[in-house]
Order: sequence, then C-alpha cells, then structure tokens
Amino acid sequence: MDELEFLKQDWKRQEADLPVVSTDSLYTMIHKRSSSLMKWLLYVSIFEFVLWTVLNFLTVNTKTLESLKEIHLYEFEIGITLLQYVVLAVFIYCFYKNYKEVRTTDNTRKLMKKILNTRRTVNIYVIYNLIMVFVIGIVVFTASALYDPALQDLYVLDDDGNRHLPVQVFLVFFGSIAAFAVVIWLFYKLLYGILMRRLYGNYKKLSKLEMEE
Amino acid sequence: MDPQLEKQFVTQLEANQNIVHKICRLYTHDRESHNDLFQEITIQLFKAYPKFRGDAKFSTWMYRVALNTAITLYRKKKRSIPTTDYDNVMFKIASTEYDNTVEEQLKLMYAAIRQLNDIDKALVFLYLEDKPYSEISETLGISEVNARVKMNRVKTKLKDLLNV
Repeated sequence: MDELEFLKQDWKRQEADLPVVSTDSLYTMIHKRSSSLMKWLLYVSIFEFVLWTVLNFLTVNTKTLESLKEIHLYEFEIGITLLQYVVLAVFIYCFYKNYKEVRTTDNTRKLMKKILNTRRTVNIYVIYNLIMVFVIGIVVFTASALYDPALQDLYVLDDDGNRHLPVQVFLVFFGSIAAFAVVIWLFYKLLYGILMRRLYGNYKKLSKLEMEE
Repeated sequence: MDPQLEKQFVTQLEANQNIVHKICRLYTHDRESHNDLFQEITIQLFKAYPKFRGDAKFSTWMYRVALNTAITLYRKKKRSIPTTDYDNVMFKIASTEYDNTVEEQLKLMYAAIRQLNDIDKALVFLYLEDKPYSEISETLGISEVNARVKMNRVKTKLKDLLNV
C-alpha cells in the first residue's frame, strides 16, 4: 500500500482532535473586516490612482499655466490634462470591472488569473503615466529650448558658428527622467514583489502543469 | 445580509468547520496564524454565501472557497515561526491504535506534507479527503489527467522526503 493510502486511514481519525469554534464566535467572525490580498490590492490601487491624479493636478496651477503660455504650450497642457482625466476614468472603470469579477467560487487557476488581470490594469496605468512623463518632458524641454528666456543664456556657439545647447543640459534632462523612472520601477518591484510573489509563484506552478499536457 | 440567511450560514459552517480547520493546519505553522486564516476563510465564505444556490453540497462549495482563500487570498500578518506546541497538536495520531514504528512513520509523513508547496498541499488535502480526481481537477482548474500526473509526482516527492 502506498504511503498516502496508509495516511488516509489516519486522516479521518484525527478529526476528533480538531478545535471547535463556538456559534457566538462564528457570528462575531463573519462581521469582521477581511485582510485578504484583494483588499490590499484595492487599497494600493486606489492609492495609485489618487497619487497619479494628485501629481497631475499639482503640476497644473496658475503659475505653471503662465509659464506654459510663455513657451507656447498652454493649449497643449489643457489638452493633456483633459486626456489624463479621460484615461483615468477609463482605467478606474476597467479596474472596477476586473475587481468585481474576482470570485472565490471560481477554480483556483481562474481566480488567480482574474487577480493578475486586475493587477495588470493598474500596471498599464502606471506604464501609461511613465510614458506620459517622458513625452511631456520632451515636449516641454523642446519648447523651453526654443522659447524660454532662461534657457537662452545657456546656448553656446560651436566651431562652425552654430548656436546650440551644451551636452550637459541634455544629460541633466534625460538623466532626471531616467532616475525618476528607475525610482518608480524599484518602488513597484518592492511593493508588488511583497504583495504578489506568492500568487505569481502558485499561478506559474498551475499553468506550467497545464502547458505540459 | 438577511438574519435568516446569516443564521442558516452559521449553522452550516458550524457543522462543517472541521474542513476549514484541516486546511488551516496544513497552511499555517502556529496557533495565531491558524486562527487568522480560519477567520479569513469564514469571512470569504460568508461573502460568497448569498450566491450559493445549493446546487452543490455546502461542503463541496466550502472546499473551493476555503482552499482558494488559503492558497491565494490569505496574507500572513507576519512571518510565522513554527511553535513546538502547535507542531504537537498539528496532526494528532491516534496512538493507541498504532505501534511505535507506525506512529513514527505517520509523524514523518505529516511533517513531509507540511514541506510541500501550496499547490501540492491542496492536491494531497483533497486526496486525503477522498475527493475524486474529477473534483480535484475542477477545484484547482487543471485537467483530470494533469491532476493524476501531478498527484503521482507528489507521491514520489513525499517518498523522497521520507527517505532523506
């Protein structure tokens, strides 16, 4: 007889030693708050949506709008701000839809896939924001190089008599964007590494099994 | 939730709570985590209960929600350190019915099962609960053939763990 068959016989006997939770305790328990992975994902995702919206909001004030007018980017900024809100609304809708579809009554693999989909929605939103930071950065940099009086003083003349910005200015600009992206990336790696590692691992194990078929 | 439904749920859960305790024993290493996981499973079962239509047995439905919570949704509050007293009560072997050698072997087997990964534990658990492969495959979301293949691998893994 194999080991598990042998164990099966003992398995039933050990039921007598299991703890018993009283009816009253069960009533108390059902009204407690869940601290499941989904709750954490919801809180973290709401935090992310709020954070990126606040960041977008903070960058648009009267002062920045005035300076944007100076470098001919006023209409661009209004357009981008409107776009950010539309995109935010679409992402919140997608997130909510995915979140609502997560059901503990699904089979384990399906449940894991749905949670990962919910997570992916927020991931795409973050990537979208990082791309926007890069795109807006380039547009603002180009417009500033052309129209911002403060930057005009930095221009140098090369041997052929052409006026251009020194390499250091480009290095500082692209360096700052790269550093920002790396910090955000590391933050996400750490945050979701802690939150999702176990789920990713288990999902991989189940999916690998199905792929071997 | 309607109080009548709430009462119905608690009555059914009370009668079947041993299923949840067995899962907690497999997936946790100390009493505190056991209680935590038990509570989380109870909350998830309660949340899902209004959609339970009774087309399956309550216990069958429970296996799925409880295992899903243990494998996927449960977040340990802190790194749990296995405690000796919990280990001793973890799986109490009905010692009066066995001689020392058999008892020792059973202890080793339970210890080996606790070393398995989350998915393998679920397979072994459902197997020990005498669930057919069709139900095991439906619960985990893998094909029946794969459930059998995987189970054979787990048996080999357990043999290896026991022979170390």
